[in-house]
Amino acid sequence: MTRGDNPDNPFPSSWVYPPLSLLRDEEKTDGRKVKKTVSTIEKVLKSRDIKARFEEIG
Amino acid sequence: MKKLGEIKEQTKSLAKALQISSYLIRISRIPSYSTLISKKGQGEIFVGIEIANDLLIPACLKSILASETMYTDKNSLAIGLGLDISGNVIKLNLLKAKYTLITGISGSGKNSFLRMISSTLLFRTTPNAVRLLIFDPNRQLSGFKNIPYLLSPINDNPDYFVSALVWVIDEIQRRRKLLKEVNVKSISAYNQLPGYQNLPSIVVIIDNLAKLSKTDRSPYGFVFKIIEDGVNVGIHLIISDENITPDILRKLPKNPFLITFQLATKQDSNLILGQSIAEKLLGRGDMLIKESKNAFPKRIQATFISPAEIELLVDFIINNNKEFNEDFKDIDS
Repeated sequence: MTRGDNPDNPFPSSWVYPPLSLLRDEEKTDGRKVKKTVSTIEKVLKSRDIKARFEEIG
Repeated sequence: MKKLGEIKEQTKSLAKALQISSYLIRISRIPSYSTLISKKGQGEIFVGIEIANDLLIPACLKSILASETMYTDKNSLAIGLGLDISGNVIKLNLLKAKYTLITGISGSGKNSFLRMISSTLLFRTTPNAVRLLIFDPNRQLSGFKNIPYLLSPINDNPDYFVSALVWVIDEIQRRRKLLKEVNVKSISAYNQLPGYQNLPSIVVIIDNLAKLSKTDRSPYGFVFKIIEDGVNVGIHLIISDENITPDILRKLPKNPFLITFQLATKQDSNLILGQSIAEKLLGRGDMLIKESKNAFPKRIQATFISPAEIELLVDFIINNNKEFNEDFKDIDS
């Protein structure tokens, strides 16, 4: 199976890197859905006398 | 101030109001969050309410590789593991990890994750810089069988596996000798010396270690030695197994970089992470990482690449780098 005597650098230096365009784009999170979820959580917790503060962190 | 338990009691009410399964809601204390917004509330204790998407929105490899975190990282052995709950890209630096241990039940995203790691290396490195040894009894990585990074054909034979580990140990000795001759302590220092040929990093990916151990010669002693001696000379191990038993853990060095996908039981989670938590993960790439023994497990949505994308990637590499033929080593002796 061995091909070549040089164990470390058997290849020529030119290398064509694959472009990222081979990959699909990220699906975007629906911001409206996030806001609606936050509002629903807020209402439920408030009705149980739990104070909540929401922070957008990402 | 409400206690965590009182807030957790609202899970069912929240699920009903949000019209989702309560399984998708996780309420927990977030210790690191205090640091994150320390300017606003130093010393406060924060409770996070995580609502998982009912539809999977994966952390696509394209956006991870294009992120500033990955794009500006010149370390070719940095892997973008995925996104934390704040949307930050979290990395694994193979150069710093003693070794990487991955576990998770079938369907948890473990196999996709191994394919993502291999794909990341293909995007960010060349065969002159990184070579791969892949052992894959479950045939989950067969899409990579023709890439010129392989030191040996992807293999699933336990006897061949042991021979290959012996070859790796010989290679460690050869490299140590090379480093000693020029009085340097690491492969990175060696590779900076003018006039010397570059030593490529070797990433050994072992999927299903338990299955590969079904041979007369136990591989664990070799695996242990490679982990202990390999990192300094550029040899890095990634071990993946669905069933990590106490016996397997005893035979491997302590303090791996742990990556845990959904586990079947609380007992499994306790064994791997020291706490009951991974059985509550949602599958499909929902995972926890633990970088060191005392670190708090960090929840991450794993980076994903689809089989169709892998096919495009491998075809591109082969078709555009035709002069880079396979250069298999004679390790089956």
